[in-house]
Amino acid sequence: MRKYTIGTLLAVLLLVVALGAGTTGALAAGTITIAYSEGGHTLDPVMANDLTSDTVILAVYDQLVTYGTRKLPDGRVVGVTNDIRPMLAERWTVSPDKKVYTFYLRKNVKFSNGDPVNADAVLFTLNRIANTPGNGSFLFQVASIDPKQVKKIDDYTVQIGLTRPNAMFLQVLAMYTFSILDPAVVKEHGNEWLASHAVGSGPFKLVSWDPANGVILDANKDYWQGPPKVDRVVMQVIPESSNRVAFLKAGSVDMAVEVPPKDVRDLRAAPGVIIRSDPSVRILYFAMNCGVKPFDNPKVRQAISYAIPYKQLINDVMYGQAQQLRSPVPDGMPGYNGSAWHYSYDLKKAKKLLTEAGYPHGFTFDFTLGSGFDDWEQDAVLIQASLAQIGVKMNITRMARPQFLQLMSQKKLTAFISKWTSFVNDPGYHLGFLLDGKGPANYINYDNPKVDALLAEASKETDTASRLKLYEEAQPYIVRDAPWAFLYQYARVVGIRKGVSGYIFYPDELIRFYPLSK
Amino acid sequence: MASYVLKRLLYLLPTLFGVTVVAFVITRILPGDPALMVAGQQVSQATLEKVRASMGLDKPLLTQYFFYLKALLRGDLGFAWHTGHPVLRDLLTYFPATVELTLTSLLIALVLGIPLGVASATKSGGLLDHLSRVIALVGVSMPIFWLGLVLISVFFVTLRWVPAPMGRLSFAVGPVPSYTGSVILDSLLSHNWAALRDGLMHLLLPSIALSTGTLAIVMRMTRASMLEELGKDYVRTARAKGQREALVLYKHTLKNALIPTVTVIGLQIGMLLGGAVITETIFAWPGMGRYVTESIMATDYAPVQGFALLSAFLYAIINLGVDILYGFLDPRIRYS
Repeated sequence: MRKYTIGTLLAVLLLVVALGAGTTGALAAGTITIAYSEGGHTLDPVMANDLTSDTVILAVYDQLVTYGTRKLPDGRVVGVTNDIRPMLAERWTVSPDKKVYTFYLRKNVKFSNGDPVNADAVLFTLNRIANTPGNGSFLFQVASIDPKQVKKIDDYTVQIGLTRPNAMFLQVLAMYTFSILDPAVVKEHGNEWLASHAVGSGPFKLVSWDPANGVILDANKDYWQGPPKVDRVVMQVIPESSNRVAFLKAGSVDMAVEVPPKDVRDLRAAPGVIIRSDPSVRILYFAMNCGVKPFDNPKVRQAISYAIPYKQLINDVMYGQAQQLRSPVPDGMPGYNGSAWHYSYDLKKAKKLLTEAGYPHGFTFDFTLGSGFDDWEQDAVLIQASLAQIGVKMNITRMARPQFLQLMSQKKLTAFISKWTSFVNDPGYHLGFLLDGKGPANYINYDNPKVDALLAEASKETDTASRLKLYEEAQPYIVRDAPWAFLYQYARVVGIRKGVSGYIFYPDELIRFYPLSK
Repeated sequence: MASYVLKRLLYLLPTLFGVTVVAFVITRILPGDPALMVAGQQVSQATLEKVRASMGLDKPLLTQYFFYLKALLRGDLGFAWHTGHPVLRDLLTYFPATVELTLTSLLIALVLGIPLGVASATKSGGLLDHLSRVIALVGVSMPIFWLGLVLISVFFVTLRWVPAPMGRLSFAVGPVPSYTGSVILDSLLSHNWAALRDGLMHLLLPSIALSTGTLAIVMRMTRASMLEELGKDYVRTARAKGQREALVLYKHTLKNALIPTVTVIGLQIGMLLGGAVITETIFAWPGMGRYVTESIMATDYAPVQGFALLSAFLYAIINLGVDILYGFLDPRIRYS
């Protein structure tokens, strides 16, 4: 009898195998499925800082204000981060000293559970951000918001006071971090609940979130701007990039993000697939620690900058899905000035600079390679080979990302490659973090008093044009000092099936689902 | 018997306590700064310190351990920041996937390994014996990750017999209601035949990849102890009194020969749980192995500690089960 049981089991198993594999069927109409590389960490707007989580938050919640869009001559539509438009606030006024903003909320907007979106909700949200340690509360400082001066004027009017005039304030307010929460929901379920649940006034309602598999969002039919054009958005987690590409080609997903550059040409030729490649403000740089010999000598850093095969990195490693970075500030960020960049690939010049610096025969240095990004490794190997030609020996040490981040933030690394996308698309935020002498992410001891002075002056300037001019003035100093070799600016590549429209590129690289249709 | 089990369970307590200490220390030794991972790079040093304090990481290690232990006694395994869920909830989500994978692998190993072992022992030196020796050698020496990739390359990429090696069910099939946490059982219970087929196809390659090592060991172990038992007097007596050969083999000999095999199976379940970490990563299987790997990469302490504790507990329980099983196989074994 027992033998029969086992035999039957085996037979059933074999039968099932023999029936063959079912391939995934056609995608349901009204549903847009998008392949993501990871499933997100937390849906709490104040704590989130990964692409998947942030995208879900923008789909479920609204903010007081939002970014405008612009149609480019080639037909692409892109988000414009310094064009601030009304969202939950239908208008706002600014006091003459530019320190007090008064927001007038749209009436009759409701959270998806029916609760009203009013001044209490805004106040609750802002107070929660101020009191939760993390990047949210830090953004309060970035935008100079004075938590004590956040006031309710009436049910639909809120006043926010700043400690000083701040050009970044409205832009920060448009970020996912400042998503307006329903106080009743948070009070009922507690803060931890928000890490895995979301109830907002946005265009979609969260049906389910499983970091290992994906996210399902259903249209909020009562959305105050009108219902979304699709009934459902599925964010499917497909960690392997080659699988994301295969699924897109097969039509098993409607869109795929994080498409590897090497597959772009192939996908462009694939029937039914459209590739959107937009220059992003995500930058990659080769950092040299100015506090460590011989990189304390600007001539050495300049020599390295002349010995990097820029075109090879962009063409062979990135397959053209990147553009030359010409300044610490990326092209596409307001106040960009790439005019001072002059580092072509010139080994003779590099050698000459090394000799002037007192290293005619080169030197040896330690380079740390953080794990997780294929292009970094390929870049490092190409740079290593190129530097060897001017007698500079680059010892590459590989390191897991958590350890890499830790040592980098402790300024213990001599040289490394790193990427950066500023949450706020603004040169003050960007340079203030990375290259101000006291910048929290200035991991390489770069300190030029002239640059610091210009940055300080710019942060006090209330006139937008004059402010940006000061940042434009600061960049050539940094380019000449060469604390980084400026490698490239990534392109944001998204694969889209024909028939899916409404994709808008935003500098924060987050897809807004509301305009999508199929 | 009952007092024996109770005593063994009591012994478990100091073991688990030791595990909490080791897991706590090891996670702290690992490089990486959890506060930095949570807050990201775009905060000031002061904010980073606040995040560290809010996570309790600014306290001395001994105090941190004390808080951890206190929470543990309340049944609170902590919060996994990288998934946004309490660790206990995560483990309950991912554990069934690992159990399903592990048990299926074990089933494959036993169903194939024991009969093959018996057969190669009875026809020692024959063709089947040589064949099983080759299978055993390959099974033991082939790394799981390599076999997994080969299986994917052959059965998914080339032959297209199985669905994309990702997770437990295709998205198109949709989730099945969760009664047991096992996709196979749940789709059976909900009469969802499409999901059953899809689930089995998803389960096939990873469980084969995971089972090979255990299959080889079970097979060799069964063969060796069968050979030993077959030479004993009681077998000769059984044969002399005219007992049917099948009965001699499966009723008398195999039962005695299984004792060492059962020991090995107990140990192998531990190995399978360990091997599942690799298999789950390759096949994007949403189980505990993948969960703990991601936790380590994210410097997320609580889930790593929770996983260590759960694994140790399981290991101890399985060993206890093995010891009890001895008594059924050999009634002469007494517990005290």
